[in-house]
Formats: sequence, C-alpha cells, structure tokens
Amino acid sequence: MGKIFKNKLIKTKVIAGDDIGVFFKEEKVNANNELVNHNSLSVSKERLHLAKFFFVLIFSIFIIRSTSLAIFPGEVRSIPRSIISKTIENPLPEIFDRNNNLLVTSVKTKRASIRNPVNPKETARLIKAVLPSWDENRLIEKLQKRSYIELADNINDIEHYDILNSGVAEVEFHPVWRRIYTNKELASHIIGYSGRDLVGLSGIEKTIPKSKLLHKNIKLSIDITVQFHLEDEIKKGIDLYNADSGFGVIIDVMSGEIIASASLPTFDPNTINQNYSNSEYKKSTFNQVMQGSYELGSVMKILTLAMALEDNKINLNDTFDDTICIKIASNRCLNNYNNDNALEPIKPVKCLVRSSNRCMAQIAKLVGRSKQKSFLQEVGLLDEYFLEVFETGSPILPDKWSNNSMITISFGQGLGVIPLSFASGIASIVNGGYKIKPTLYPVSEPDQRGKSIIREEVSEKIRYAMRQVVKNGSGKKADIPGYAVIGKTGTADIPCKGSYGGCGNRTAFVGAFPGWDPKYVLLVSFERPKANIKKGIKRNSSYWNAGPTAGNIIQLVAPLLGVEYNEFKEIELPLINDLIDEQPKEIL
Amino acid sequence: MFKVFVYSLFLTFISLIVFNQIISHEIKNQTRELNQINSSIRYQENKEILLRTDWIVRTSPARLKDLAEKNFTKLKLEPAKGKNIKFIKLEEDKN
Repeated sequence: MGKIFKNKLIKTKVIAGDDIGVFFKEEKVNANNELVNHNSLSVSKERLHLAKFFFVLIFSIFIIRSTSLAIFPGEVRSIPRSIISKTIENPLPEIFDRNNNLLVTSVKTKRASIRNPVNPKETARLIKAVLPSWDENRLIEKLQKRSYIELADNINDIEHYDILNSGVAEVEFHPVWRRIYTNKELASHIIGYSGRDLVGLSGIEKTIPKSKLLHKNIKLSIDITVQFHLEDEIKKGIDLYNADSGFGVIIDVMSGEIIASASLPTFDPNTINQNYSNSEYKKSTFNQVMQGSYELGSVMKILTLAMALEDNKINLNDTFDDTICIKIASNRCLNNYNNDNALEPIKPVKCLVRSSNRCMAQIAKLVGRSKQKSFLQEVGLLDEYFLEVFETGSPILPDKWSNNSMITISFGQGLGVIPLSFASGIASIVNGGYKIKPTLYPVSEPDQRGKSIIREEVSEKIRYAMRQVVKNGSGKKADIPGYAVIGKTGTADIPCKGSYGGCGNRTAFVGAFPGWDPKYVLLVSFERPKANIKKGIKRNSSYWNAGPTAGNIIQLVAPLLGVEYNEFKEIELPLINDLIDEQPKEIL
Repeated sequence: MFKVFVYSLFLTFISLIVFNQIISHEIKNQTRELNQINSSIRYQENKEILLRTDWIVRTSPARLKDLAEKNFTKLKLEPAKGKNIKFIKLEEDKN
C-alpha cells in the first residue's frame, strides 16, 4: 500500500513539472528490483526526441495547411451572411405566363448610401447637385442626426457614375436586386408584388419563399394577351357605364386553369411601394375575384334549375304560374325584376329566359332547403376557398338557412359568393357536370374533371336553357355569332344599411363559349353601373353593361384561345319529349 | 546524424515555403483573371436580363394596341376575329 502511495506521489510530482528522471528511476527500481544511479543524460535525450517529434509534427501540419491554403484560398475566406444573400445568382425565380411570356424578372441595381459624413452641409450641397429629388435642408438635418442614410434606391449606371464623380467620399454602393413587372398593371392581383429586398407581399410573389419553387422559374396558367383584353374591356366598361369597380375571370372548364383574372381598379406593382400610403392605391390591391364575396343576382338561377333537374323534381315540360303571390314577409309578396310577370304559365327554360324570381322560388320550394344547401356545397360555393395565393375570401352565408333564405338564394340574393368559386361552379355545370378545381398553375393533363355533380344530360339541358337566355333573353348583347355563346345575366341590389334598394346594384354576366362544347367560362361583373343615355345605354341592368362587355371580351379572346368558329352550329335540345314551344307555332 | 536530419528538414521546409509562394502567386494571378471573367459574365447577364425585359415591355399587349390604334390609318391593324381563322380538320379526325 505504501509503495503504491509513494508511486502516486512521484507521478503527481512529474505532472507538476519536477525532475522526470526520478520517474524513470523509480520505474527501473520496480522492474529490476535493483537500485540504478541517477541517469540525467538518457532522460534529456528522450526529452529531445519527444520535442523533435512534436516539432516535426507541428511544422508539417503547418506546411501542409499553408500549402493547401495557397492552392485553395477560397476555402477559408469568410464572407458575411448579408453579402452571401446579395451575391446569389438570382434570388427570386422568374415568372412566365402559359405561353412563356416573361411576366416578372429580377435585375441587379445599386443602392447608394452615406456613412458618417465629415461635413454634412457640404455633403448635402454636393448630393443635391446629382440627386435633385432631395431637399437640401432635410438632407442636412438627416446627415447631422444619423450616421447612416440611404440616398437612393435602384439607381442606374448614369446616376451611379454621377454620384461617384460628385466628390463625396463617404458614399457607399450596395448591390441590390429589384423585381421588374414587365406588364405593369396586367395581372397584378395574381402576380402580386414584392417589397424592399425582395420580400413577397402579395399574390404569387408572397407564396414563393414558402414553397419549394425557389430558384426554379414559375409558369402560370394565365395568358397575358387574354388578360390584357379582359382588363382592357372591363376598364372601358367602367368608364362607359360610370361604374365604381368591375371584375372578370376566364376559366378553362376542363382543366380548371385560370386563363385570366381581372379586378379593377388595379395597381402597378412596380410603383406600389412608393405609393402605398395612398388610400386609393391601397384599396386597388383588393382582389375582387378571389377575396370578394358578392351577391351576384340572377346568375344563381342556373344552379337552382340545375339542382331541380338533377333531383328529378321538375322536367322541362312542367309549367309554373308567374302571377301567384309567394310570401317572403308577413305582408309582402315576392316581385319579379321590374314587376315583369308572365301572364301565362311558363316552362323552366322560359323561367330562366325571363329571369323570373317567382318561378325560381317555386322550383326552390320543390327542391327543398337541405338539398339546396348540399347542392351548393357540392358545387363549391359554400366553402372557404383555397387557392395558390394567400388572398382568398370566404362566402357570406345566411345566419339561418330558413325558407325565406332558400327562396332568396334561389334567385341570387342572401348568399355572398366568391366570384372565382362561382365561375368554377358554373364551369362544373356546363362541362358535363364534373367538378373542377381552379388553379393558377398549368396542368399537365387537359382533362382534370373530378367527381360528377350533375348528370351529363342535365348539363346539356342547362346549356340549352343558357343558350336561350343569350339568344332570346337578357343576354342578347353577348351573342357573338360563330360561338353560340351560352350565359345568364344577373342584376342584384347592393345591400346597405340593413336593406336592399337605394344603394345601386351589381350586374353580372356568366357565360361559356363555344355553346355546343364549352371550353371556357367567363364571368364579368360591374359594381354600381349607371345608365348613359348619351351613349345609348338606357338603363343600369346587366343587359346594358355586363352583357355587351362579355360579348366584346368573347369576340376578342376566343380567336386567341383557338376556339372553333362556326356560324352554322347551334345547340339543340337533347330530348324530343322535353321540346318546348320556344318558336311560335305557325313557324313550326 | 541528428544534425543532418535537422538540416535536411530545414531545407525541405524552406523549399516547400518557396514552392508555396510560387504556387500561391500563380493562383492569385489566375484567380484575378477568373474574377474578371466572372464579373464580366455577370455584367453581361444583367445586361441581357435588362434587354430582355426591355423587349417584353416594348412588345407588351397594351403598348402594341396603343401603337396599332395610333397608326391605324397607315397599317390598318386590328384584333383577329373568329372568321379570320380557318379551322382545318386533320385527316385523322375525318377517318
């Protein structure tokens, strides 16, 4: 025990830096059981070998490392994080339309700033000479107060050269990326915009960093030429009818691709950051097509008719009395638009052509409110809408789905729907009855139809009825020869102060073309349009505004979309026993 | 023996350092050249993006429509209509 204790003590001594020879001596005593004299020379030799070994090791590490550094200097070059973000090739992907037209790109510009100027007054004077937009006194004040000031963002080469030559030594330039929206206002609600340092703030731009699309170019389903015609015509319409705002959307009925979506007034994403404090400008960023929720009026009658036909509650030969009183309040009967009642009993197609509220209320009663609700749910009108952008609204449902709600919803009041979901709902009705999901990205398979909502036969009947509306009813002005346009107009009072009337109206037209085999659905709507007698617009109903605008759009857009033009094709009623007397008997 | 070893080690180190210096000098030169080429490529690329953007702005539908309207008397350009386009059915469709 004593020996072990002694050894331990000696070892402790060695570690403390005492004579290492003692250690060896003790080791030898233990090994040979003999006493050996003090051997300092051999110990120092050993030490020297050890030192030599360490010296060679460290030096060779040093040489190898320095050689590798000389050959690969970039390996250790430390770069601050902020600079890395600025030097990446292209920080946000480019955005293209469906025909590979460039919509958004990024260009490299410079940002000029100034740091700790020695003589603020002199600096301000020199800067003012090259950047005249600065107020000299304000600049002096800023320079005296702060150590770092941004002089100008997105400067071009000439400005850069001018500032360099201005004689101010404290100016710094930083490379920055800037998003360029090549088509300015076009499709700005879909594309969205980015703020400073390329932070997406709305639309597709906002979705980029969160998705895995970074550094991959994005292709959208929109066609920029179609988009232009849609926006242009709606803009013309707003001016002509003196409307507050307007919107329109075109959807492919088979794939659900959004070909164009316009919401006016619109904004220029290139300049939005400078003007964002302006409240008018702020308002224009609201995307009515996807964020809004509106009562679109009689266009809903298409769905009422579809649900009744699908449920076999009516057939096209049934008749309805248009003169009876349908109570919607204790002492009030339901009126037709402009009290225009048919004196004779009318058939369902005629109901749609005349846009009869009373007739639709009767049909809705036959269907029942639970079926109505479930059908609208199935079509997709009651869901909170999900799309590829963050700006989506939600429908406004009645507090209680009562009988009165059922009646008002049957002709398009009392239920606020998102225009995009309504358009896709109509697309699902006219494409043979299969549900489609609207999308902003092009799809690989042109036929993306989902589950069946209505039978193909019902879809055909609805198309026939919609054709009659355009041919003989309120949609006449949208009847573009060669496309057998089908559609329905709607005029709804805008609710205000808890009631309807006195606050203007909202007009809408929903249609599809070509009628014989619909390829695209179009929805156009105006808010508070007015009559314009001087220009021949006698009233403010959709017959006078949304209808003609939709017609113009179809005329311009159909050739671009490659829709077949045929003046002689017409839609015929699918079943002979459902034939109705649309034409006077003498002609037949 | 030890002395020889130390001297040879020392000489090796010296020669390695010289070798390092030569290589690093060459590398620096080449890196500078490479950086110049890279920066000129980046400059050209940026210019290309600018030119492409400029072209897109110049051929944007809004601008073309304005130009067509302005020069209508001379060029008589207007949007295509359905009847301007002839649809030809392919042989396969007929069969």
